[in-house]
Amino acid sequence: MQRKLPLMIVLVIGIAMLIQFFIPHKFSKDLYMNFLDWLGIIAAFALVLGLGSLINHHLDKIQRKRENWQYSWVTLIAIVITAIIGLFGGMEGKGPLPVQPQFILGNKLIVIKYSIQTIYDNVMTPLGGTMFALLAFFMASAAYRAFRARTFEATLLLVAAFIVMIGVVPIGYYISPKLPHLAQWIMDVPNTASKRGILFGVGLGIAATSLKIILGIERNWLGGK
Amino acid sequence: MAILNTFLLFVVQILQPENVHPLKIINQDSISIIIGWDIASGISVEKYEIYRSKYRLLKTLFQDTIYIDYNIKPDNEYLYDVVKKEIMKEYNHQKNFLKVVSIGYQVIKDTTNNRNIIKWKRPNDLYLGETYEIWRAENNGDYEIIGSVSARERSFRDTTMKDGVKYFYKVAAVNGNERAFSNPSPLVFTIGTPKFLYARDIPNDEGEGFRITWEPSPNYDMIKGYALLRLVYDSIAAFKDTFTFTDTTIKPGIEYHYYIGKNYQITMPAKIVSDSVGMTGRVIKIEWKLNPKVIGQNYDLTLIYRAKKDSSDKFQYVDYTYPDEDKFIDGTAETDREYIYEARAVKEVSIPFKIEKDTCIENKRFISLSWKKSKEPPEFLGYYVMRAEKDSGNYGIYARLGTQVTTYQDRLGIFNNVPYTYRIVAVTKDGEKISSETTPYVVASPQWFHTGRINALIGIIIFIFLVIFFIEYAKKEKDIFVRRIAGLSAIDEAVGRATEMGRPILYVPGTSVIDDVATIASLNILAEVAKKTAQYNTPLIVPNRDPIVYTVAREVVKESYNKVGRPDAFNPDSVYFVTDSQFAYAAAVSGIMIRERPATNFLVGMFWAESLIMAESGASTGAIQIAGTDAVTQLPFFITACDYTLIGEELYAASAYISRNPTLLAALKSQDYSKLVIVGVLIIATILALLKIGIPVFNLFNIQ
Repeated sequence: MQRKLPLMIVLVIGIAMLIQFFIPHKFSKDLYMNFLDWLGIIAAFALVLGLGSLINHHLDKIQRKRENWQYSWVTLIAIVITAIIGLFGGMEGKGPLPVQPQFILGNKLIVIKYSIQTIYDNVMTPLGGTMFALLAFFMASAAYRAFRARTFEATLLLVAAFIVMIGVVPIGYYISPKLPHLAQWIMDVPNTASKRGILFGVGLGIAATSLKIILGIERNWLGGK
Repeated sequence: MAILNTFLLFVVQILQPENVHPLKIINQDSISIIIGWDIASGISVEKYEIYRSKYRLLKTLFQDTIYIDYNIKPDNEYLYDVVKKEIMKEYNHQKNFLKVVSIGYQVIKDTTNNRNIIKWKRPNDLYLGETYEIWRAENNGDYEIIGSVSARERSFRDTTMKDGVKYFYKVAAVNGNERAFSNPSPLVFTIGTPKFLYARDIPNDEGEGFRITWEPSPNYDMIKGYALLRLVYDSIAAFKDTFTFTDTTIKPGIEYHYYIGKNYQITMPAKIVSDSVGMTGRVIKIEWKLNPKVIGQNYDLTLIYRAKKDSSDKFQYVDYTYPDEDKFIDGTAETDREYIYEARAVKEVSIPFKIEKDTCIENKRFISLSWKKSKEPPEFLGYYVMRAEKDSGNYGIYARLGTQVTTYQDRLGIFNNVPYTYRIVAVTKDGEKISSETTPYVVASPQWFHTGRINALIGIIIFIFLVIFFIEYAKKEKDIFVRRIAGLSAIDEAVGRATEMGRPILYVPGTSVIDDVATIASLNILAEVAKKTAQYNTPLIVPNRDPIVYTVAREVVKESYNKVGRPDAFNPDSVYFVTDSQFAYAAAVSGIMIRERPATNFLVGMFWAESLIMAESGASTGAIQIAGTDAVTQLPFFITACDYTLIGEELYAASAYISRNPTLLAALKSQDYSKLVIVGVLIIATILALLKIGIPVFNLFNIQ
């Protein structure tokens, strides 16, 4: 039963959703929206489980004093502080938390709100931006590795990349007015052709995997039972 | 509305001069006349004197042979003469007059009787035309005479206009064989009646909408826009606990359409969060807490109501907003007044009803309607009966559309199974309105099958057939060839290496959610990898970005350890949730790579911009990296930074490839044959496209 029930649910819901795609009636759309709502509810419960796993992971690390265990405190303290601000300050700082600190910077009055938005704007956004900015350096090192002309394919890649890079900057036009066109042709024809080839395979792969799961042929997602 | 076009035109008649410098009209318009003359060769000219009627000297020119007379009036005749004075000899006035007649006339559009009336004044008595001719040109074509009147007539009625054609007129004063034409009139046009192609229920939708298409008016460039009119239903009765209604206000000889609707209203008290004076006056910002019953329940609108505080005044309607909004800014409040606000979410639904009786008593007709009682929630306001007179002409504007628009989907307050009719009105830049015929009555209804997706259904059936066929084939012929996939063949090597080095294996199941098929494919591979790590007792680390993926991944790994008989080796702490923030997750994974130094990194699933951050961090640690994704934009990064990459469909083939399960391999084979079908279709479509006969065939593959 433990094995059959999930497979039956997947089969029934999978086929129902497949049929739903072909029914434009309001009933069908409402059903689909209901399932999406269920997914949201499941995700909310799963988040609790996820949070539990994260806390367990770091508590375990601290208890066993594993390598760099001190940083786990940072994670745990950040979780607690964020949770308190989220629960009692709210999204926009309108919760029952105490008076918000104010100070004057230059001729501006700065008010620090105990809100999730404050954390998001002042912590998450700059940290996320920092990580994103690292991409530029990673791209440079990856490009260096990719463009080492050791094989014929790598040489081809190097030449194509060189033409595209030069073709899309103004100096390319001054070297030869045809260079931007050649760069665009590389992007439009060989590049698009290969991308479409991959996408055909991906589309069929998605369809096949979905079908295998619905029909119960593929069971690895259930732990291979 | 008729348009008056008033113009000043000049009719020119040239009397041939007799001397050496014939005068000619170079240009003429409503404000000036330009005359010119030739220089007589061989004669030394000192100056020219320009005379107008009655030998009034206008100007003396030196060397010039052109004169512009700005001092002219309409409805006058002018005579010009130019006298040249030579150095040696002075001439008398030559009387070589250039005669110019100006006629002021207007074209009046009489749209009621579909005619244009051309009116003019008689020029002054110096010119007596025998007849006047009316000339007309269609759409900048050649002028043709359309009628003539005697010299005593001062107007002409053109009744031969065609709908939607642009006309230009000229008036010619005829004297003997001479014709003096006026300048052409400005454009005179009728915009033409817009023509309905159809108004019909929108196919393949949930009802409550119509698609209306029309042909633009012939003179679309003269149109400011269109107004879409729809039959108006008037509310004639409202009830709460009554389920029958008898209409006693029926006019004789008129047919009626009815529908019965019901109203819901949820009132949400609003509080004032700010009250200030801005550039445009007082601004009150209000907020309310959305009632859970409003969220996701297809409410039509939220109406904002306001009442004066501490007074017995009733709440009055202010404005409306969308039902998912929970704030509103009121810029219409009076100064020095205190208000209280309410937000009322409203919804209307039509209900089925039947006509019980249609009787006539003492020459008076009665129609009785009835409907079923239903259990209603507290927010139910009541039923209302709506009525429209058939062919009454009671139309309301439901959309104002631009000139380029020739099709429109009307979904505003339409109920299923209720008859509606439309009419389109073209509005000119001058405000003239021309209405089309009304459409036949149309009724909206929801559909149970999307005919635009029948091609997708056929494709799915073919695909399912292929899968079942190859599964049956696999049961008989066990040997199904699958080409070598380097990335998957390297899994054993990668796990073995980690085991030998005594380091863990890091498995990243992508950064997408569980309903992404790439994530599910990744979890399938994780199951196979976990079996191998369980066999070799190699530590496995699986950090997750999505909490649902985390729970599934944990179960997958646990079951894999169970399956190979090593449940004791499973470490529950090896699969854990990190964060749902994209770059925080990338930072965490990079940190694990640097701190834990895994011997092998699997980056399999769906990735976005974080892919290179993780792949480069892994590459810097010297780990073997096996990546796989169906995200085309991330593939180059993985190919560059990883040792092996599963490209696109290889990701989905992995489960079958590793497990060698005949059923899964059969499904893989069906994928290949489906691809063969697609390639075949592509070749045929390409040939048809080259032959320029492919469009209907291409449409067969268009999924709506």
